[in-house]
Amino acid sequence: MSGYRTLSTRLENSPNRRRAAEAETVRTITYEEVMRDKVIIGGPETVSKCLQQLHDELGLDGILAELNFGALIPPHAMTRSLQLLCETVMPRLQ
Amino acid sequence: MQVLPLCHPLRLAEETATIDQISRGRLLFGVGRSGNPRSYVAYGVPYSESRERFLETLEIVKQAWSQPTFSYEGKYYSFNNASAVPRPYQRPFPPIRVAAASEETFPSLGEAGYPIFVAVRSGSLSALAPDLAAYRHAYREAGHPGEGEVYLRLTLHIADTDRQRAMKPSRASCRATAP
Repeated sequence: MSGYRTLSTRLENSPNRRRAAEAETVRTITYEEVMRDKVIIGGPETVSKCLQQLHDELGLDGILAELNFGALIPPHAMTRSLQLLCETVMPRLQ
Repeated sequence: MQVLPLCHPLRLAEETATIDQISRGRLLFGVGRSGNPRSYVAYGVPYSESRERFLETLEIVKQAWSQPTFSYEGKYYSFNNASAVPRPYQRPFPPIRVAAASEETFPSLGEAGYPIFVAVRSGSLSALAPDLAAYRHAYREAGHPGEGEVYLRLTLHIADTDRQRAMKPSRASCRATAP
């Protein structure tokens, strides 16, 4: 959530009309909304399923995984997340 | 990821070509205008010039990468028989991906035939669908081969089990899909 708080101050000043209008939305966003609309979080099975669903819906050629948005994830958890992504999730999607 | 309107094109062509050389052709050149005007203020570049400067800088970088010497007469930069050293490992040059966020950017990048990358900040993942459709439509209309390429910058965390995944419990296990 800390990442979204920081983001809202940047959006406020954005020359991109769409972004500036959404600054308020980002400032007041709830944990539940983030989980529902913006991120994919879970065990390998859930994440694989969500990524496949996202691919079916949007037709993606790849993702750039943002493993520590907000910079509050402890290093060991982030490393584990990357390892699971490469060793467990990616093989299921290829 | 480079904010092109704030970079000197020749310098950028040389630095990125150096990365491409030492990585033996692993550079993916990500570029954008950035939606954050604060850095433009710091560099003394008006944000209103960002689109023009972006296109001009990208064109110069491509010429510097692909030609032994080049000349260019633009609004912001002019070069006469300039050469970038080294040239990239990949020929004619490394793949370019462009960040897209503004509504009008999607069709224009489709028309130009560039791969794009997108992110969800204020909207939802499902809400990207119309922008991606506009990109792909413009891409096809312009006669480029294939469907274009779309990469998503996505906040992702994987734990060993679903139970471990979050500091705060939530019922949602998967984001909602578009109706």
